[in-house]
Amino acid sequence: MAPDNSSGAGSTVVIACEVMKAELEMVSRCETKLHFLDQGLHRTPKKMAALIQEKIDLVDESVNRVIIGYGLCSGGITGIRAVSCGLVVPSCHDCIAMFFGSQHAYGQAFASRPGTYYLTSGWVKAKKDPLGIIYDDYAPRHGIETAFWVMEEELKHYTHIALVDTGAGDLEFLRMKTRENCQVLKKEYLEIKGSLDYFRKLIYGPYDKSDFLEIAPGEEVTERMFLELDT
Amino acid sequence: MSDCSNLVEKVIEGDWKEIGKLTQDEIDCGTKPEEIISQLQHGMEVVGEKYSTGEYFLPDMMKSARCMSLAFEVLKPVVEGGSFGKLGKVVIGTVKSDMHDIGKNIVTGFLKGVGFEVIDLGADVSEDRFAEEVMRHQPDILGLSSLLTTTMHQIGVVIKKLEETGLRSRVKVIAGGAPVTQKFALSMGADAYAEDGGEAVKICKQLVKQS
Repeated sequence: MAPDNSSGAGSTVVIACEVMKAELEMVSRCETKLHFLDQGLHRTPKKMAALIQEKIDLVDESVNRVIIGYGLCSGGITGIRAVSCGLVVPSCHDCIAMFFGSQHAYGQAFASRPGTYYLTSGWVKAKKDPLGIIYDDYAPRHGIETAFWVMEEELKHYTHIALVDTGAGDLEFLRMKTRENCQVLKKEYLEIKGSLDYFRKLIYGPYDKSDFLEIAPGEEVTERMFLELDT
Repeated sequence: MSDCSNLVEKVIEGDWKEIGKLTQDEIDCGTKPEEIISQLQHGMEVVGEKYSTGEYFLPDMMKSARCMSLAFEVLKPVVEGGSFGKLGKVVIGTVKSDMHDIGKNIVTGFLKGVGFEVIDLGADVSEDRFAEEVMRHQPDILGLSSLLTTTMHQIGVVIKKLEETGLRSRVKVIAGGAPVTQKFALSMGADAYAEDGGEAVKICKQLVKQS
C-alpha cells in the first residue's frame, strides 16, 4: 500500500522495517500512518535504499515529516531523502538498539558482551531466529547438513543468544524459541528487559541528538552522519 | 591442457564433493597452478557478483569458499614446491568487538592458496594484540577486517597503535569487509583496500613488491 496523507495537514508518515511492526503498533496512535517493508531487505543492503526511496516518493507533499524505522543497517539507508519534507532517522547503526530503548543501553550491552545474538518478537515471528533461518531459508536450497554448517560457522564466535523483551508478542513462546535455539546451537540463554521508549520517541519525539538524526528536506542520508556521532 | 571450465563451474555451484579430484586432474594433465588458481578466482568473482546482486546468499558464498580451500589443499604441495613459493608473510584478523570472520577466512584461503604464509588471529582482536603479533611475526602485511559499521573505525585504532609502538613503517596495512570502502580504509591510514579475496591477492602481491 502506498503511503499517503489522508491523516491531513501536519501529519507524519512512518516507513519502517517489519521487524519492529509490533512495537510501533503498540506505541502509535491511530492517526499515525505506518507502512512496513519486508524484513529480508537487510540481506541486500545495496538494494534497500531504492526500495525505501520508492515509498518516500509516494508520500504526499502536505506531509510534514517522514519517519524512517531503520538503523544504518549496513549502509542500506544511505542515499534516501525526502524532497518536500524532513526525515527523522534513528541514529543507531543496528536497529537492535531501538529494542533496548536507547543507543546508550545497547552500547553498554554490546561492549560488555559483543558475542551476543539478539532476538525479539519480530525476528522470531518472521522465523529469522537461527533455527528458523536454518530450516526455512537455508535447508530448502542447500540441505539440512549444509544449513547447520553455515549457521554454526556464522555463530562460531557467539557465546549467548539473548531475548530482548519489549512487551511485544507472547513472552512464554519467545522464551521457548530462544531456549530452543540456545540448546541446539550450544549457546547461553540471556533475557534482557527491552523498552518501547525509542519507538515512542521515533514517532512523537523529542528527537535527542544521541538517538536521532533530523534530515532537512532535499538532504540525503549519508554514512558519515552516523560515523560523526561516534567520534 | 584444459580450460578448467568444469572446475570453475563447481566453484560457482559450490559443489565441493569432487573439487579435489578435479583439481588433481588439472595438475595431472599439465595445467599450471597459476592458471588453476586464476580460474578458481574467476569462479569466486562470479560468486561475489551473484552475492552482491542478491542472487546468492551467505550459504552459497561459503560453499564456494569451501571449494576454494579444498582445491588449494590439493594445490599446496605443487605451489610450495613451485617457482613462486612463499610470496610473503601476512598477519590477519577481524577487529575488536567484531565476531564476523567468514569473509576474512575467505581472504585467508585465497592468500594461502597463492603462496603467502598467513597467521590468522581470528575474530575480536584488540589493537594491542595486533601490535604484539606484528612485533612477534614481523609480517610484510597486516590485514584488518571489519563487518560492522560500528567496528570499522577500529581499523584506525589499530593503525594508530602501530604508529605509537613504532611498528607502522615496518608493515603494510590492507583493510576490507562489507561496510569498508577504499575511501574509508585510506582515511583510517591503511595502505590499501581490497573488496574481495581475489582483489586481496592482487593488492598483497603489489604491497610485498613495495616493501
